[in-house]
Amino acid sequence: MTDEGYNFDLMKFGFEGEQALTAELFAKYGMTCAPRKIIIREGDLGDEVYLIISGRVVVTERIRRGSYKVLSSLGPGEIFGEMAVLDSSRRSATLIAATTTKLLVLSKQDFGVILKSHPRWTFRLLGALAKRIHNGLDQIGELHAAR
Amino acid sequence: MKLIEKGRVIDFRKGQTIYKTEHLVADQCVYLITDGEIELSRSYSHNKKQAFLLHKGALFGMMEVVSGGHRFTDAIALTNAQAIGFTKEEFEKNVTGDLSFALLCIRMMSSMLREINQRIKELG
Repeated sequence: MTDEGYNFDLMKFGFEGEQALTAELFAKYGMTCAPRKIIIREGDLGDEVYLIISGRVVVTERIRRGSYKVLSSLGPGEIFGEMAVLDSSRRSATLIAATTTKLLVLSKQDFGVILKSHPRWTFRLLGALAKRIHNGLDQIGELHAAR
Repeated sequence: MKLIEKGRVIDFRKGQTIYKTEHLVADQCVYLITDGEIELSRSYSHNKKQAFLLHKGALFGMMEVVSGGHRFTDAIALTNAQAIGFTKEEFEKNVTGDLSFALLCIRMMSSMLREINQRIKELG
């Protein structure tokens, strides 16, 4: 539902969180991915941000045609794809649905509506990024130790 | 960018350790570099080290504030440097009250994560 460009359903979702996810909102912004579906491909230009509603997504690096190495995994409530949207750069990894996964797919503008609606989204995203950075630094340590 | 909370100016001399890995997050815990270069680094066994160079306009120290607990890296002034320091409360008010500050925080951390993922690929 929009009025003069304001998406009230999206703003309500942003303010109240996942409990405000309606069937209509999911019909407009949602996507259901079967297991093994490639959601984001490394190297592609990105203009969408994804919020995981249910299921699991793996962050991967392509080794060769049809073969991917899992770097990490993301679950419900986590956001991905934000990097390419913020700095208009190419996708840095390939993300694949590990299970049947429901996502909200948001344009840069819609992502901005979500961020402005309630500070929880910024803190949630920052918290998720901090966790991924911490895990990444630990993973580098494991790779050094394995050499 | 109009900061809601102004923080306080802090000067670092070249070579000064700002914080170390495993330090508990304390006051003056998020920094916005206004001059000079800061290196964030993590040391591993066998003299291995991962370092990230930050310049004017960059934020550091916020990863641990949003996640709580100990510092993930060391932070050292590579040159004489100056930063604005924010307490946790000031940082949270700026994130909440100024979208451009919030986007800067997201951009900084996304950029660091991208770099880390690239290094993992190169090591793997």
